[in-house]
Amino acid sequence: MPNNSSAAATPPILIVNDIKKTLMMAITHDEQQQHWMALANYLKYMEQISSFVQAEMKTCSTNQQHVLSDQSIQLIKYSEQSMERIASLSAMFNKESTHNSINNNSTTTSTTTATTTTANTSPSSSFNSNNSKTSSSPPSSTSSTNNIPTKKPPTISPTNSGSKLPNHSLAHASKPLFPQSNASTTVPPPTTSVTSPSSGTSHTSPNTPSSSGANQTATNHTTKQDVSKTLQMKRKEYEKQRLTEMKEQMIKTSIERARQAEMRNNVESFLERIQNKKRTFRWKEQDHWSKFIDTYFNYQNMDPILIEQDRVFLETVSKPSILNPILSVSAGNDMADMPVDSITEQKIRQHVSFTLANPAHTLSQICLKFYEYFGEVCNPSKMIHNPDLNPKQLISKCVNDIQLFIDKLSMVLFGKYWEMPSQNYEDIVIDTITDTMWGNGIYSKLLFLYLLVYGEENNRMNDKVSKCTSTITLQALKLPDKFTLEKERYPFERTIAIFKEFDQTTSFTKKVDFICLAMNQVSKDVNDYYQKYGYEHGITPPIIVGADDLLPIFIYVVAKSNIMDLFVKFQMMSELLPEYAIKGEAGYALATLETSMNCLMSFGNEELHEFSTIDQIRNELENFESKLGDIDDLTSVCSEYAEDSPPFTSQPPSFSKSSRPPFQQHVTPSNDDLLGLDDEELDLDDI
Amino acid sequence: MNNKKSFKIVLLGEGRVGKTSLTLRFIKDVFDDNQQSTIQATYLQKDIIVGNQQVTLSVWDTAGQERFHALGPIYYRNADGALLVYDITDQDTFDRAKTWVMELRKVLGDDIVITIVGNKCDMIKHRQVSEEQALEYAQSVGANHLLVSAKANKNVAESFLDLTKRILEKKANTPMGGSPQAHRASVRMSTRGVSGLTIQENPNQKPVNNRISSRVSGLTITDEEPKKTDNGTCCK
Repeated sequence: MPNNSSAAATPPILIVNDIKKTLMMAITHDEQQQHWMALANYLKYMEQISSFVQAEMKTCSTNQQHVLSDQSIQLIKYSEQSMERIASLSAMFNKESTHNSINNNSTTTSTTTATTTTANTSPSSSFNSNNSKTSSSPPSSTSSTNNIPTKKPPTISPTNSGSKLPNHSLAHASKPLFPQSNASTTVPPPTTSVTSPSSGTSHTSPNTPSSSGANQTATNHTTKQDVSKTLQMKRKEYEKQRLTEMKEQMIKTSIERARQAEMRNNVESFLERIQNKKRTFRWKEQDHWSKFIDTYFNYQNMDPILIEQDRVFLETVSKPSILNPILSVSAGNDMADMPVDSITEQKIRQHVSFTLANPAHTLSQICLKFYEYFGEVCNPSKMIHNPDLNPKQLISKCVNDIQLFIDKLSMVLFGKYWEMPSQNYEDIVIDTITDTMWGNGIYSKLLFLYLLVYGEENNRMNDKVSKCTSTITLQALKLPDKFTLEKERYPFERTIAIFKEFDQTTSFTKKVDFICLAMNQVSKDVNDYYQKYGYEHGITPPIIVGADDLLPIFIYVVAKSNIMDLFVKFQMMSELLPEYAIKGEAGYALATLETSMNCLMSFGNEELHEFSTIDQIRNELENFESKLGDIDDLTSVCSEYAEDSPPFTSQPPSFSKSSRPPFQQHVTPSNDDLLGLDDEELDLDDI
Repeated sequence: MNNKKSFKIVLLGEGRVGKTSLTLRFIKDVFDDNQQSTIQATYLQKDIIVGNQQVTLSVWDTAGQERFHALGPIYYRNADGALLVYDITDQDTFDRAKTWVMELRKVLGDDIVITIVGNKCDMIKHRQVSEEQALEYAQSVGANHLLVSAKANKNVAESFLDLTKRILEKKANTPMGGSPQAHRASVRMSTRGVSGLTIQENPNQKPVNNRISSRVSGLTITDEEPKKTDNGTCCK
């Protein structure tokens, strides 16, 4: 190990001076890169001191007091500690620089690869050997120190020592600093020229071939400087980035803390407000459902985040501000009747749906309790096996329970906890709650009960509707010609389609909505028809559809829709329609449906037969007309043929136009008779 | 301004006497003429102000054909008022109106307020029902009578406003909780959104905005005041 031997020959005083220089540089240069390099150099110095002192001590006898022994011992100890510390720091830096160099551009790598012909020159190997020597230094150093004078290093000049030590240290420092690849490991450390005044002689490293020229050395030197500058810049950028990230992280943390503190304050004030309301709120009657809701509806134990969500939602909805909804309503404030725009409505529905779908929310929990209760009450197996149970009473109990539950829940929501600006807002919330409950098994259970009670009427209704559906016509319902839409093959097709959708949903409110929509579609269908065919009839829209015309049309629509179990579904809807909706459009739609169903039910066999007769006659007439059309076509073909073929002038009598009267004479009177008969028999005034 | 009230008014009468026309005439200014094609003239709603009271009228048109007569109760149940329409040029329609009145009184008693209106008063030359006869009958059944013309826009708004005013008076004089259903509805309506109503401990103290116990005194028509453009050719 020539390095070690030369290092061992270096006078300690000079080494100490170098150490001081290096440390001073480390102190004066604020750059971290240089600091790291200085530390790396320091590590190397310490190794050399260690080996030197050990060699010196071994050459002396145990009793002989060496001049530098105390200092050497201290240095050994100090160097060992420093080495541990520096090695750990170097390892850290090694990792960071590895990460940096991987992400950096490849130009540095290619440049260094091109310039370092001694790519496999052994900084790493020398580092390893030095390391191994450091750990097990005595054998090699012992062998090398045999030639070293004991008192004074004779040959090595300060410049030499300066040139060799930094050079050696360079090889060491290059390992931890740039160990990423072969190319990068060959790159000399960027601070070599800075830290070592005699770095220009670095090529005198024993592992470097002595044949390398001055040009190559100069190129290498320039490249080294460029690379070192680039790496310094990268390092700076990296450090800046780290600092920025740390700052952002700190800002984020502080914002998050402030937000949480604000949320805690908001939640506390919200709960306090609720508590105040709760103190003043009294149930008029502590009935079963009041207790039920009081038991399970507890905002206090809820997650603050959920409470905060509710608070934010309420504050958003109630803007501009509705601090005292009671006063605003009683004073006839406009807010009381403020219509709800579609965006707000959607927002309310989304929030309530989300709340009900979240098992952690108290509202969801209370609904779940209700589902459990309802499932127990409407257990089909219990009812089937219990003949004493009166299904009608059970239905009224269930309907009452549903209504009371929703009533009480809404009272709690709006009275005790939530504050909504107007009844329109509350209606939306209640509708959403009802829809959700309906879709969670309440509908099917209740339908089962209704089928138990109204099974007989329901079957009759099904039977009647299924009979009417294929035979009923608008003409038979004595509608004015204006509304029969003669040219439509399937009149009121869209109305029927909308009405059928009522059966596709389990939501009670949506069912009612579809009936209202179907009712409104009637006038749209009529007006669309006259937009298309109005010129033929001499009628131009708008056509106003009054109740005199709507009802027969709706009877037709109901019959054509052929919805199964319509009777029980209607019964359910009519019993569950909220009080406030009875006088509104929903109430009117249900009244029209009820009237239509009553009319259909009142159709006796005679009327049904008449429908069939009319239908039959209509079909026969259509067939007859089509046949007449065919005959006309044939006649025209024959006449053309006859004109084109004078030799065959005799026209076949059966194809001539004169042959039509017998058909007409034969058919028309009977047709008229039938129509006359219809006029007499199709009087539905007795319904 | 008192809390808003909502009344259901049902239009009854023989077919083709002009019920739909009257409804449209009353509601028409709410809608744009160009949008009439989308009007379903069977159920219409209008907000009016009577005195200092805001009222929402839900007007239910009904099928007047004789064959649907038996199904009338489906429409007029829960109604606050009924506008019975007959055609002054057709005595039969007036007779049919009498049967409607009898039926209403029989089924609903005095709970419903009735106004009888003779439509088509612009066709005075073809009159078959005298005003005296109609007025006398109306008084005998506790109803008001008005001659109207949907075509000439004569007394249409007045007939609806008269009915509304009388409904308000009746509601004001009716003790709270007339029927269990009405009581429940009122409780519900009063508690939703305005929970403070139930806070009061004193049962004798009436809630501030209880719609049943609201006092509507000195009723004056402040909105929908009909124009005094009587040309003297009809309704006299």
